[in-house]
Amino acid sequence: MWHLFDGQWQNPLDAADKIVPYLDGSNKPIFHPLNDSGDHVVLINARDIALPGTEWEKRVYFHHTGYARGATWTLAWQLHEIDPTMIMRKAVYNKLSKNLLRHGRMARLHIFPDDKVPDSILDNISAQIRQQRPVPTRLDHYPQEQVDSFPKIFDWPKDHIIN
Amino acid sequence: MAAWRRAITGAKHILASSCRPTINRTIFSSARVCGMQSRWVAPLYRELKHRHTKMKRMGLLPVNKRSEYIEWNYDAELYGFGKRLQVEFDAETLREALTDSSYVAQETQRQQELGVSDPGLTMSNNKDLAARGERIMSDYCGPYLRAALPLLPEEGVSALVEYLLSEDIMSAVGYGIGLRDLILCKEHPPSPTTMARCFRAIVGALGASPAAQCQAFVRDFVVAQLVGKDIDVIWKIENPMAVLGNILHQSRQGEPESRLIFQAGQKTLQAIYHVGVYSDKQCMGSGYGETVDTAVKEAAHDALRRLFHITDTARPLPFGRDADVLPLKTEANMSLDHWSIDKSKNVIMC
Repeated sequence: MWHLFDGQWQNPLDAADKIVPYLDGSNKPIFHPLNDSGDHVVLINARDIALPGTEWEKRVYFHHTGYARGATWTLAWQLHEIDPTMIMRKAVYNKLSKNLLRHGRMARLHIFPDDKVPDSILDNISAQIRQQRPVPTRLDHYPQEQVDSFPKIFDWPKDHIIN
Repeated sequence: MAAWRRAITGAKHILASSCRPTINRTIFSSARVCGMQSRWVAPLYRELKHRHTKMKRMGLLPVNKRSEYIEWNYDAELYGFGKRLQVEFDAETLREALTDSSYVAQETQRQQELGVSDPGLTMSNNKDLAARGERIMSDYCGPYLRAALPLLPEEGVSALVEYLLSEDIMSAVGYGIGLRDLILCKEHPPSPTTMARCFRAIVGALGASPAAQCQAFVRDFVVAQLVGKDIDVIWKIENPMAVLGNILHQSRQGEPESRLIFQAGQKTLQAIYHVGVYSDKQCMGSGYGETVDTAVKEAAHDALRRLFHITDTARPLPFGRDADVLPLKTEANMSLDHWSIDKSKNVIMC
């Protein structure tokens, strides 16, 4: 099975919790640690994930090259600029069970920064994973005439400036 | 320390000079010190075991008949055979049923070699009993299966009967009830053909006993081989879609129409298609496959299984008390060409 997950405005840490059972197959009644029953998950809009609170500034990703003075600490917003799929990938990787099957299960996760998915992958998809937070419609997403026709409590003065 | 070493070296020199012809051994050269019996017994047994398993694998080991052992008592074995199966055999008939023609020929030849010009052998082989047994089995299996599976077409019933009376099943049952050591035949172990003929003769020998007892024997040992088997595999329907179309046409229903219910991973090696077969917007069955064609075929198979009531969830074959009260059905079931849903509603299910 191939599932689609839209990462638009989703918390990557909570989304990883949701995606992991699909990757290792533990959402199925036939699940057994020795059988390979995991599914593929295609995650789109990874660029538009939403970390909560001050996580963009405070969350730090550690990396060590292995050489002396090779340690680096990268802030989440910096890492997201370098590679928009990396935060999501690391979130899922950390939530997967730590065993030899981990890399095989990660190989079933296909992350794309936007909604441009090659047809060879898109044709396989036959299900969608429900988002944890419904994406609200922003005011600038509504058509202008609907905004104009919406009942108002009062009218702004003609000379009032709204920035 | 140094003094101790010098003393030992000195002692060695003395020993070497005093008893030169003997072999100079250290104390640990003898395995007895370590509690071993010897250094060759265990390796010898190991080698013998190795050779034995190798010869067994190559089939070079002679297979001894049980009857070659000194305490073999054929009469007692024949008596015990009937008691184990809980049926009453006529002793002479049972002996005849277990005698193969190759054994009679072998005995005649042996006596001629010994100089007996006219061997007065009164043995008869089991050919007649085997023919009788086969008739008994086919006379029971067909009516039993028709009664147990009233909606299965007659072609399916005859395929099942043919399967049950095949040499594979007959010989397997024969081995299972322990005929291997009881058969009197030239070769050992008996070939499947001999074994199958002998088992048929055993059933033929039971023909003299009451019919109910004979039928119970056939049911418990022969028909029971169908338990857990997939009828659809034994009776293979070629081109199930055409058969289903014919049945629906006979039933005055719409043509079977296959529709895709679900698909996943089309561009992968593990593509899966779920196809349903519909007639007049009614789902007749559904099946899975790696391609659409196999899925359609599986769906048609499933529809036929549902019509004939031979799905995995269908009622099991009756055995024991259920089978004792089962009214056997001698007239043929509906044939596949004339099978229709309207007629199947008139069939009495028991």
